[in-house]
Amino acid sequence: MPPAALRALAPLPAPEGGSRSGRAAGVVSRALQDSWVARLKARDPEALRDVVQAFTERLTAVVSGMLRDRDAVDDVVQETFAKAWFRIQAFQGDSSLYTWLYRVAINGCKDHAKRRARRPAGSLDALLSEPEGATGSGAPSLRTSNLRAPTPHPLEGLERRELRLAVQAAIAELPQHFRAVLALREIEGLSYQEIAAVMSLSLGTVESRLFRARQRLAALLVKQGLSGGTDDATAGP
Amino acid sequence: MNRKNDGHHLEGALDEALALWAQDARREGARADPATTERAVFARLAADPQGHGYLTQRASFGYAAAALVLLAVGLAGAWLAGTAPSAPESFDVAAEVAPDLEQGSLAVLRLVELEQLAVGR
Repeated sequence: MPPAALRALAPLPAPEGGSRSGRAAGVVSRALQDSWVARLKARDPEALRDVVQAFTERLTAVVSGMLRDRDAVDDVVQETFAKAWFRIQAFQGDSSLYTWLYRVAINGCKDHAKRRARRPAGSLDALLSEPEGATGSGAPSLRTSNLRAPTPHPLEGLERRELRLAVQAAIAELPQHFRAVLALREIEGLSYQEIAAVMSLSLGTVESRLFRARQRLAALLVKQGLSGGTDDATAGP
Repeated sequence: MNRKNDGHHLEGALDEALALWAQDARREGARADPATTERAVFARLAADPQGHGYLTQRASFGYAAAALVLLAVGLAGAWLAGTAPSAPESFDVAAEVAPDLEQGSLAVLRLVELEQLAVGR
């Protein structure tokens, strides 16, 4: 990736509804969520169907930001809904159902990472599920078809495709807790207060964690040669 | 000035990178089929109707048991450490006090004897 690659990027199209995320497209009122909670507590499977229909897309998006393996993403999302069914009695209702689902999903991502870390290094199981380059030995994984590759737009230039790959790799190197706050902020567009509620953190911790996550990501991108370019920018009068 | 420009460009590049990443993730979300997810979720519920795999954390029981054992060992160690040094100390004190007590009791006995003699008179 040449240093000036980032400058060549055309502005991104605005997301649906003009918001910074696709959140506006899938807003579910708090009253409706509360009614689903009541029905879930009454063991109504139709309520679970409604919840799955309403939240699959958004949960999958956030979990996709956390995990690279598509199978793992599907697994965590399905597990989140199953946990919602079995653990709903413990849900106090002090947050929205969706906030609670986020929390369950993010903890699911962390559990997935722990399970993966517990597998013996070099085991066939590990090789089958590790993302490429994540085995620590530099050896490619045996299965690459389920790795989520960035989906380029047909008219997208080579430089942007390279940038997508570079960003994916850099994000994958971030610690889980940094990835989680970035995913909630950048993908789902949650406010700092909402992120604090999801992750049971103070507002200050969320702010500092986001700041440090961006700093770390910038360092990783610079390491990969994505400096944003200084050729023209620094040529002042 | 140049450094300032670099900083601005890096911030802009970072925003672009994050926007691309978010865009990819949202595309993944849009590609997910809720009907497929629904079938998979209900298959999970059918396979584990009591939800043992979702309600209990088998691994955490192991950790909890190990933590309890460690706590018990720690408490026992602390108790032993607390009682062991005090025993010799108490013996030392007793050794120091015993002669005093002996002398004291002898003195009391002598007083009693003197009183008896006085009464006998």
